[in-house]
Amino acid sequence: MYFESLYEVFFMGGHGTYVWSAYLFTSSVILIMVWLPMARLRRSIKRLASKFKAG
Amino acid sequence: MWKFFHKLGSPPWFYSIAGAILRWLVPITLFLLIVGYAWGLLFTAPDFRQGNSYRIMYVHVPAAVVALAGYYVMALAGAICIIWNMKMAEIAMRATAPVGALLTLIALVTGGIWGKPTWGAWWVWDARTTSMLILLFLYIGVIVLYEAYEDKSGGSRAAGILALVGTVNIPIIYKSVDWWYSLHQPASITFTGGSAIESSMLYPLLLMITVFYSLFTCCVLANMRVSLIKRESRSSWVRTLVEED
Repeated sequence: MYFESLYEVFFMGGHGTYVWSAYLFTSSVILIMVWLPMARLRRSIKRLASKFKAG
Repeated sequence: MWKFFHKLGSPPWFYSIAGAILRWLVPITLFLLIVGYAWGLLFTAPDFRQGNSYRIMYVHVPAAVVALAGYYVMALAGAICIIWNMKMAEIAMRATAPVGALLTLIALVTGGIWGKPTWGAWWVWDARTTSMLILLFLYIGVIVLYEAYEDKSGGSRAAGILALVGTVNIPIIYKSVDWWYSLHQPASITFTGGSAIESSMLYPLLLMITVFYSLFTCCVLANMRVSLIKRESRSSWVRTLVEED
């Protein structure tokens, strides 16, 4: 590992806020991007299942 | 070869193949994303000029690269949709637009965050940043235009035309740092010449670009499956699938 202490990992020589917020934003968008279609698919299948059951 | 394309147009075949691919590709991609994060954040040395802020590159560059490549995918699907009126191409075009828009958003936001300590401003009306903003509007435009039409075949045609016209913007984005005086640094990796980036920094970047391509593929396939099941809800294969579930 490049950094010597955990403090350095977070602080990153004064750039920590920028670096970590960029990674946090990216991760949030990626999670939404991956999770949303899965949730929508499950919801559609559920809705169709109840529709087919009702005849 | 033709048999493969014929199969590609078959909704049940595509739905199941995409499902099988996603079962493997999603966990592998997310695992490699974490590896890439750790590599870029913790195991590379800081840039001699930009310090640690350059680590934003490992999310900013891949997002931008794939947002641009994704636009070509969307425009190609739009072209097929206009010329052959293929249902699957329309679904692919609509599945690509939100993924591309979100990747462009990542590139713009992380670029702004990187710009603050490097240029001293969150945003500049620079050739590169402005043309990327236009890319975001083009992606959103394709989504909105399709939704605005009551008649969906007209909507997909109009969205396809917008997607095709918008391809003009892609070479402009690529070349913006060479054609105009720009604050944005020029490309560090080129296909033709040597790369202006140290290999210890290059390898994690290449990994992250691969991961983002894979993420793009996953999200487009997953969106296509949702569209397929909604569109084909009256067909027998969906009924069988839902009842088996």
